[in-house]
Amino acid sequence: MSAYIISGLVLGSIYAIAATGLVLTYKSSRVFNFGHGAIAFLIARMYYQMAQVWHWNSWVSAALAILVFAPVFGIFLWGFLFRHLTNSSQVVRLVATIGLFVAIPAVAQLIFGYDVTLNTVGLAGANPALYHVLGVTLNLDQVLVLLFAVLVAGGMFAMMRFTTFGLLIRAVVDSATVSRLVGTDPQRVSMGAWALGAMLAGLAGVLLVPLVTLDVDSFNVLVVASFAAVVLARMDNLLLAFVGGLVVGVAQQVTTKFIPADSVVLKGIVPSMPFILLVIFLLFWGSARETVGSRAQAMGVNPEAEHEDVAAGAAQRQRSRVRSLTPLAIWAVLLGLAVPMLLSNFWLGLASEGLVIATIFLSFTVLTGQAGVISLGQSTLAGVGAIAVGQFATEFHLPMLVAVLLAGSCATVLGVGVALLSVRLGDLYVALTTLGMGLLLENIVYTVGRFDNFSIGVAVTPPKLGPIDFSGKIAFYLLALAVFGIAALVVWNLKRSTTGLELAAVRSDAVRATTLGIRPWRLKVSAFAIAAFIAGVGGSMMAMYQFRALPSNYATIIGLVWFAVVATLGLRSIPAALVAGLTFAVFPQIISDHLSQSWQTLPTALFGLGAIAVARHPDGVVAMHAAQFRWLRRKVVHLLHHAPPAVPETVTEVPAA
Amino acid sequence: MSESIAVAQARGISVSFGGVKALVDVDLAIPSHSVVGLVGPNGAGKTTLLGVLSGLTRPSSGTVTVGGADVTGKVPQEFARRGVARTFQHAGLFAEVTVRDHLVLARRIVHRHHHVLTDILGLGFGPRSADENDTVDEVMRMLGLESCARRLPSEIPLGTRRLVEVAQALLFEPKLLLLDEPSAGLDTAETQAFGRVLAQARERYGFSVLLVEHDLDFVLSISTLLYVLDFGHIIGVGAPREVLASADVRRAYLGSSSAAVPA
Amino acid sequence: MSAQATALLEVRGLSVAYGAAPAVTQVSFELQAGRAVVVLGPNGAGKSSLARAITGLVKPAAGTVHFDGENVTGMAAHRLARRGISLVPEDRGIFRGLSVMDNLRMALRNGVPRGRRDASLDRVLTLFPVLGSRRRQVAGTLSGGEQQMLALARVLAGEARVMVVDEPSLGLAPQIVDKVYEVLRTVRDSGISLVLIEQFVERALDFADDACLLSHGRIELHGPPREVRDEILASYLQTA
Repeated sequence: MSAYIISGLVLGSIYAIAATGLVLTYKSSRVFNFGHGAIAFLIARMYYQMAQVWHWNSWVSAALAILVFAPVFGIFLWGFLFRHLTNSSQVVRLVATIGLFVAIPAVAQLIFGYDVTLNTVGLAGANPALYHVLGVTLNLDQVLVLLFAVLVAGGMFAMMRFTTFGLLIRAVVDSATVSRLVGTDPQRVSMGAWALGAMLAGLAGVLLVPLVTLDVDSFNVLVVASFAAVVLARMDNLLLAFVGGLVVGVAQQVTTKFIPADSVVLKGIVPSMPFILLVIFLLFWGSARETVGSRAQAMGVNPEAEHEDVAAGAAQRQRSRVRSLTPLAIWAVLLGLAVPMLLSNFWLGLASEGLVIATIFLSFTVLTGQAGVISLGQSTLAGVGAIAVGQFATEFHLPMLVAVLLAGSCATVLGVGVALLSVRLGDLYVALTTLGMGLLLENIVYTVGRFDNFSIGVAVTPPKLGPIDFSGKIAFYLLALAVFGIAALVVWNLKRSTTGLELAAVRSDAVRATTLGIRPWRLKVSAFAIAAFIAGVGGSMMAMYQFRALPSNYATIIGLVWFAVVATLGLRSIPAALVAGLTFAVFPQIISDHLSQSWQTLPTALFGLGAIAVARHPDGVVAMHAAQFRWLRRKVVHLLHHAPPAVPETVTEVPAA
Repeated sequence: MSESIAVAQARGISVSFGGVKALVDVDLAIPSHSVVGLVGPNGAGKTTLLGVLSGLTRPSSGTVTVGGADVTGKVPQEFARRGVARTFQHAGLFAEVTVRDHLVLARRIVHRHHHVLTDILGLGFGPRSADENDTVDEVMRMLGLESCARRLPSEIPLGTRRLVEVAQALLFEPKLLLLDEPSAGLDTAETQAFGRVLAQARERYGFSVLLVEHDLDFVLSISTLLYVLDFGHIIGVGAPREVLASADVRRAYLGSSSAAVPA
Repeated sequence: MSAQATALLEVRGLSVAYGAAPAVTQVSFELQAGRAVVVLGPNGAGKSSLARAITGLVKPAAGTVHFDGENVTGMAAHRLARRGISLVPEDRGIFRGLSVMDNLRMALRNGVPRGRRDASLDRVLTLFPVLGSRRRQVAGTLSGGEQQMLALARVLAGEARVMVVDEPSLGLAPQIVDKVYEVLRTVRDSGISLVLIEQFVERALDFADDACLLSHGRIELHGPPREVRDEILASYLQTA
């Protein structure tokens, strides 16, 4: 038993260090950094580069990476990104750090290339010494993890209590305004906190190097696991975050002891322990969070009031979009129908894939664009749709239409469940819960033999309708187009309906909306249901496109990239979702056709950077360019209808963007 | 006099925020077809009392009845359902909703003829009921909002925004309208115009008003009953001019240094 | 230089607007060292906006603020605080979650050179003995009056030269308000200039050297209290 506890403490120490850094930066700037794991990966990769590629001394390398590079990078991110987010809405803040999550590893791979980073060596060198503690054998690397954890805990405690920097952080957290009134610039303090946060991420990353393979996904998953500790600490209490990290680590390792090694189903429980705990902590804090919210309401505080001008500006651009939608939709349908005549079979296949993905993307349009909530679990819901269609259509031999509708319903049930659990807790908690749900399902449900089917998935054959076989390229393209069209119509209906109006009201000012009798909570759950159904149907279309329902194609991390793509192009508009879907399908193909293998992650990097740029242009690229396009069109129309003007005309309308 | 037919009534209301007592044992009744003024120095608890009467603030003790039904501790939506509408001091409206849609929204909420499912299937888009258009247009005309029907709140002046709030409240067919500092940020002429429109609307729809206001001229010009709040206590109630003349009220307003703490 | 020649604080044509809505329009006044000006007016008249604009919490839309001969218009609040212009806002402006001592340490950190900090702290604690006995107490748990004392203490500890106090008597019982005014008198006597925002007319007029009445963001009346007193009272309570 002690063996499990001690190895749990080692793992937990890393969670604890990561969680401490997350809480520190959140406290000082109210930005929850989803990119924390990505920073950990980047610093670890730097360390690896110096210590193992360039063969520098491992301690010197670690010191350079953690003490020099990490704070510089933290300050860079602060200056370039986080500084501007303090006054943004929660959605924009989340989008930007999700952009980091996606972009940093991709950029790191562009820089460092794709070296196979096996045989990673930690600080203790290639053959770490072994120690025997309480009858448990630990190597020096593991001992170092424990030592650094103690150091971080003690150091943070001492810093917060006894140093001026600690006092400044506590003061800024207490009130940024009062800090300004006594002559302290809260932004400078927040910069320091980000530098320190990046150092803690870097430390966690370097300590992880000997323990796991040096790849982005395992780093991200480990850091996401520390979110459970962050939730336990309610994003606020550094000590609880640290202790929570240890608890999660120990719980995870101790579970290993009680699960028979040959149990296939339960094998998934161990890696999902942190997410199970995340859900438990959420339930635990649930009631407490609510009272905080109602207190703010009682005080007549309108937390979004300061963003009013930004929101209004966005709304102004938004409205013009809605108006110009009808002619655009007609053109889109005509163009969509003409596409099969224009494209080769290969590109037509990609276009179909784009349409299918765009269908899934519409679920972001509903949730984030209309309801103003961020779900990071839409890829999981699509995965559930795919798995379900495989089961219903192939295993149970149900008609395809029935199977797809059932698949959508399965996703809806799950989506509504998650919404009921998290919507009341606030936007940030919704994002965390959906992310946790995704990883949980990925570990427990995706790995079930019946669904996974030896990693090839269950075969799914597109249906036949009389003489039409939808397995054909053109027929499937038209099917995908029709499904996207129906989903788009649903989203458009929602937008212009009374429910859409209510959603807009809730987005603008939830407190005011309640005094009109609107129930924001119920509305958001409805939006979750609609979005989940769309994602589930999209997922089953994806399974048909790929001829199989392979769960690993719907990984949660992929969902984050999806979210970044949609955020880049525009979360509010249907055309943006379409362009995003096509871009996601086609762009990587263009890159791999024209650039060498080393540029493979360029699209991902660009998608991530695009999401980061959303911090500046909340409506996304499509809306931005649409405004420019409308301006151009007016100019052209003007020129066509009038003789070329002899004098330079006065432009009465300037582009909105 | 008209206690028995009060539109809304608060009895023994106390509210405290983390030790600070915002309201202490407050009794207030709003007779039907009346305009009740609520005045008092800054921080006296006026906005908190509006919060209690609109369900945004839960009192720690006391009861609230609306239309005779006990609604103490109910959610704001329940107050809305029983005909309580309110405006906010910060007249932000819904930033992403046009002026006309503010009214349409209120109308449709009251008449409840929509459902998420029919909405997304596009079945709610038959020819719009002429009734709805007529009602909305009538209110827009009455408050002089026709010219900004398609504008967003950020594009219209503050005075107009306050009128939009009232217009929205009217479509809500309220029994009681709570106005929170409607004249804040308006000049004298705008305030007078606001008062005229309010009087007109009351004549047409016959609702009661609870008016929280610092502009005493404005309060005196339209209210029939006045409450004065100080330190969370009601220190005066009655005919407006008489109440304002009382010594306690003068002290509360002018803060002379020898004032005693109100009991 | 002579006190009457140059004003310590000079506000000229100051306007503040939130979006399209004007809050303060064309306000001008001067303040000599060691004097107190009171800004009166009903709720919503723009008093707090004026205070926030002078202390850098909002950028003015037009006009200038000169402090000690230097143009400080639109300067960030933390820079102004370091130069010696500090605000005690309506909600007291203390760190509620920090101890009394930490509140004072924050104030000393920026305004006062290291060598003088202990002396400055001693001076403040002598002026406010109640704070000395509650050094370790969390500020948010102090009574309303004590919180107001702490707010004034932190401005004094920071060696401010102009103190802008927004509604110091808000939510306080009259006896406590008496004490607050006593402290303000000491503050003024020690040579610090005061801009006092008030709603309670009589007490403020008794205290100040100069009075402005703000209405709809504009100065309606301006002059020494004894000259403008009756007119201000009349406009406050027309019925009385």
